[in-house]
Amino acid sequence: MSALQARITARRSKFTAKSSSSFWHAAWYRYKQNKLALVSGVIAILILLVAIFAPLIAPYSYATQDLSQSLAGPSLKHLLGTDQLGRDLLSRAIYGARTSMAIAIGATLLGALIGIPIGIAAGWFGGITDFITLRAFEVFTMVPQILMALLLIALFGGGVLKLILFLGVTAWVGFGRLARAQYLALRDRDFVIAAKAMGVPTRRIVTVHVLPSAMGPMIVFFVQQIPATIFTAAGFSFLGLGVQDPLADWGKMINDGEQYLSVSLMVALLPILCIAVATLTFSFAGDGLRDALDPTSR
Amino acid sequence: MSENASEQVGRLPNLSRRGFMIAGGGAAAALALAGCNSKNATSSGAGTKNALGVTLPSGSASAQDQYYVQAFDSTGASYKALDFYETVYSRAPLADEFNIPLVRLNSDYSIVPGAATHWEQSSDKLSWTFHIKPGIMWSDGKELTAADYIETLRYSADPKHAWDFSWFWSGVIKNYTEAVAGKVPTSQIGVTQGSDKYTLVINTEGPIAYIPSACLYTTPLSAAALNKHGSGTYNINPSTCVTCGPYTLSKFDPTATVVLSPNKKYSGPYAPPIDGLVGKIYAGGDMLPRFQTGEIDTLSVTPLDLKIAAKNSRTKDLHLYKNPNDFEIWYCFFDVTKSPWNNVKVRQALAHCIDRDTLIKSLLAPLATPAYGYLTPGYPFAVEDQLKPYTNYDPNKAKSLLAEAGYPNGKGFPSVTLSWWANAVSNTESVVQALTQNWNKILGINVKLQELDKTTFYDRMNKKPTQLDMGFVSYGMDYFDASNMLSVYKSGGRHNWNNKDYDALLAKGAAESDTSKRQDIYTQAQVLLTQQAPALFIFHLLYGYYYAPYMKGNALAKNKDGYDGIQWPGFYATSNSLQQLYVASNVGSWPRQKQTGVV
Amino acid sequence: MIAYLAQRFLTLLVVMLVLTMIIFGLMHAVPGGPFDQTQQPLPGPAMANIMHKYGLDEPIWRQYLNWLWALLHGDLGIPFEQPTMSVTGLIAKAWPITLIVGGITIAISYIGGLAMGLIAALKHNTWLDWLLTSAVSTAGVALPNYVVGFLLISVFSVKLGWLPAGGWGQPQDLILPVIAFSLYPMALMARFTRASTLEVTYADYVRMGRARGLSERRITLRYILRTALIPLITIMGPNIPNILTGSIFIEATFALPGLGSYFTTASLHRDYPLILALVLIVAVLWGTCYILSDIAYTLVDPRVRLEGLSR
Repeated sequence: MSALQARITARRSKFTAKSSSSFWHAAWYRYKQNKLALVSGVIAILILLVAIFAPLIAPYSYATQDLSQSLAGPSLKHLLGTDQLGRDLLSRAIYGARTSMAIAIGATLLGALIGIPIGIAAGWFGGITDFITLRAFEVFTMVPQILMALLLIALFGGGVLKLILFLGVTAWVGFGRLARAQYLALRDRDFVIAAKAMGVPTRRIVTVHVLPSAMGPMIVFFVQQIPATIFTAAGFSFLGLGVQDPLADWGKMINDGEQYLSVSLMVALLPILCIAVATLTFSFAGDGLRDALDPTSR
Repeated sequence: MSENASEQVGRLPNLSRRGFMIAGGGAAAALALAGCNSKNATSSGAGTKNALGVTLPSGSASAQDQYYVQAFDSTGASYKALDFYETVYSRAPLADEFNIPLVRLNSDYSIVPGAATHWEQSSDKLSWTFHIKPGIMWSDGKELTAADYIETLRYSADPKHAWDFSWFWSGVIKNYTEAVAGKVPTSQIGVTQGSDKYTLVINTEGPIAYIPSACLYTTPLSAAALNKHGSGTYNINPSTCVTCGPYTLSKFDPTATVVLSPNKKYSGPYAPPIDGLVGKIYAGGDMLPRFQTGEIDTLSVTPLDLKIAAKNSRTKDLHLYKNPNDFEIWYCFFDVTKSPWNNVKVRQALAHCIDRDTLIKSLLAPLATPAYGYLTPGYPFAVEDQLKPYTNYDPNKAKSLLAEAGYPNGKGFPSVTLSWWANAVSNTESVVQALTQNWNKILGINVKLQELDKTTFYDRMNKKPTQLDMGFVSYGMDYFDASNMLSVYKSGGRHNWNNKDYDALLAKGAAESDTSKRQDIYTQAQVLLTQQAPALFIFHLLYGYYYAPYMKGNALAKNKDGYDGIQWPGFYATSNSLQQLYVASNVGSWPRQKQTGVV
Repeated sequence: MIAYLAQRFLTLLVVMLVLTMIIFGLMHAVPGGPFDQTQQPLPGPAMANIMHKYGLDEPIWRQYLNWLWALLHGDLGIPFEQPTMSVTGLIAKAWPITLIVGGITIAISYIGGLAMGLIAALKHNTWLDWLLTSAVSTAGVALPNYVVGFLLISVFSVKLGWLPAGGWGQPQDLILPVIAFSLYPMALMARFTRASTLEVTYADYVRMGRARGLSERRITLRYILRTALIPLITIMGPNIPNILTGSIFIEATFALPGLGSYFTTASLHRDYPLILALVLIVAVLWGTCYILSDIAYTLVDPRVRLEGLSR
């Protein structure tokens, strides 16, 4: 995905190079025109709010058990029913948003923080730095992810933080490739050459002059990475890795619940619905953002 | 060993796909139609003979239906050989059928004759003598004699062979430990021929009362074949397989199937009606639909399987057979050298704060019974009532014990971690959550959970000193004697609770041959163990089995304890269940998938 | 070109060497070994015997060299999981199943996705575009493939009883796993085809072609499709190694005896020879993929076509 992004954005950065408040204004205007993106953006923000304020919204704690209510159907006491340990499903779905979003956003953020500086260095300096960075990209791409995850988790243990660390360390390659392609294309632009000629220090060129131009595509990539990371994290939970009981997480809830499908439909279906809504809204919002920040795409 | 049993139905953590069962339901319905069409072809074979010359009992199906198909989950398994003395933990499906052990077990867990007709302990109590029935022939034409057992046991002690179960005879057979360590040649171990070639003498390291029980694990390789091939793997090749049991190998594919067909040269005393065995190997997936669609004749079920099966028309009225299999105890252990677990009052507080009845009713029933001690009732020398006062569910007592230990209402109690690995048979994931929730709620402490993969879990638990402060784990017996299971807690054993009194009781019990005196000794040991609470005993697992309605025979009948289905050690040469199972003539009432070329 | 490929090949070899070293170190650092016992740990001398038998008592660098040496002789060792077979034999048995499922998945999803993306782009802003982009392509992106597989089983095997719930051996066993596996790459392909086709459709040279009076069909096939394909090579190429090594999720859901599940069991078992073999397979596939996409890139380089057009 990153390569396309990189190519397209590299070609288009001349537009965004004229970064100004009017550019962001225009982008917001374009985003507003896209109804699907607008609605998705609103839902995505709602999901984030639910995640942040989970303890205030959820009727119960994610851990409160009532073994006598095991796998009970929907009732006034438990609006969506309970799971095998008699825990309130609605509350677990709400707290699940918290864990799943924390992992998805945390890991993507970490990937960006690692990947972008490395990518910038490679693209800007070229030569041996670039060569080594490219080989690092290759090593990280060639590692079978699940096998590696299993070994690392066996070595360091599971938990939300470690899952974020692992996913972040895997996600950096995408950001790295994107940043590299951007800076590779931008470093020969007139305004950069001009800045160099005027004796502006390199660090200042890289951050103040070039970064704003490269910012748009990176934001888009960031938002688009979130649903992908929700997916991957759910897969890890499906394998029993990462999130520890009794913490609620959508992927883990799918894994636990889906075996109960013929016994209690809601246990299986609720987390599946949550994941579907979250991935879709973040995907649409990401697409809308891309279109808005990149006037030549449709 | 027990863990092997659980693994046949245990799955990769959280990869169990129970939801597929209904899927099987659909397919089963389609197959049921096919079954109806062929219904008038009722097969009756009562009075006729099978390929082993056994006259089939009344009510049995025809001779070509007398095979038995079992399922094996290869997830987490390694299939290397078909003989106990080649490898214990990497045995492939349908292992240990090519021999006759010295003794066998009946469904009441009593030792009955196998290849040995009788046995006795010497007057100095330092050796046992077994008398082998003459005239049992190997398929290569040689006779089964003491030499086969001697060569097999020597092979097991050979450092070059590196047998994975050598701890079993270490400290039991004379010089065995030294031979494994390479300090003496294997010919020096205390297993010798007696007065003639049918007499086997086992010299022990001390007076050991339970040798006949332990001798269940004397499933010999052929001395001639062992010497010729240099290892026991000759038995995984149909052309080199040498057997004196009722079966011989006809197909070995460790990724798909193992097929045993009748050994037409069988000359032993225990010929079975079932003369063909099929082991189907699956790489995970849900077993229930495979049973419902007639791919397999029997199924070991999990608590969840039962919930799902109850909603299916084919399985909802099927009888659920239950037995303790290898008498597993599931318990929480502590690292008693570390705070807070070095305080016996803290351990006792947690012991009184386990609501076993509710937990079992919601999560495991009917496949578990509450555990108050290490031994399952029904296991030799097990007691229960004497232990209850030390570990019954009593939240108030639990709270006051914790207060006495210096943590009133959990104040000041450090955050602790309970490690566990996922096992579908015991519903571990739910059980550990229910346990910790109760402790945290009632005692006001903070017990956190940490799931580990199985290999990591056992590696960290078994490290000396152990790297787990607290864990949820099981143990199953290896042979029928209290000394086996109770020795897990002796000093220097599996866990780090070292107690001189307990060690002394175990040593006394192992040497005592008077049964009522042994009972007294082992009762004291069990009370001490439960009272000191180096572990919290949660439940004894029961194994649940479905057998297709045409599987019949005394092997499935209730035993003295009221448990039914094929008892431990299973459908093997080491059990007399082999002779007591047959396929009945109602085989057309179920969509059994025909196996050809087996019998 | 040849020199470039040779250099690329050599760097990839070095990359793989580094990769196997990392994995080798990591898998030996992980707690537990392949011959650990669960009930009663083996007495020291007995364990030492086993470790010696499998060469695990040697220093780790020597074990790595031993492995490398055997590899150069085409020997991948004996898997601890299936000691009666060789690693090569095990892979030869399991991988074809994964390759069949993966191959069909790639064919269906790439061709289907390409067609859907093209149609959506050519009918831009019509109801057909909306249906294809939103409904079909998002269905694949919205749910993890094991959930899709699970839902497929519930409907087609459970409710309707049309197709088997899992297993391997008969042709109909392929249908549900391939659908579940295809959805995501198909959706991805459709999305990117649509995006890159739209980009080209409004490009100057296509407008020029139209102005010159070239037929719409010719424009679509010669200029739009060909140019739109280029970014797709870079995007969809890298998915091929992933699909061809199988998905543990798909294989577990449908009980396929393929390669995918070994990625988990090998690491859970500490099956060192198998872990390394799997890492090698993935690495070699990626390497091949990198080199092929480099070649493919030059073959369909846009500037070549652009020159042709302007001439």
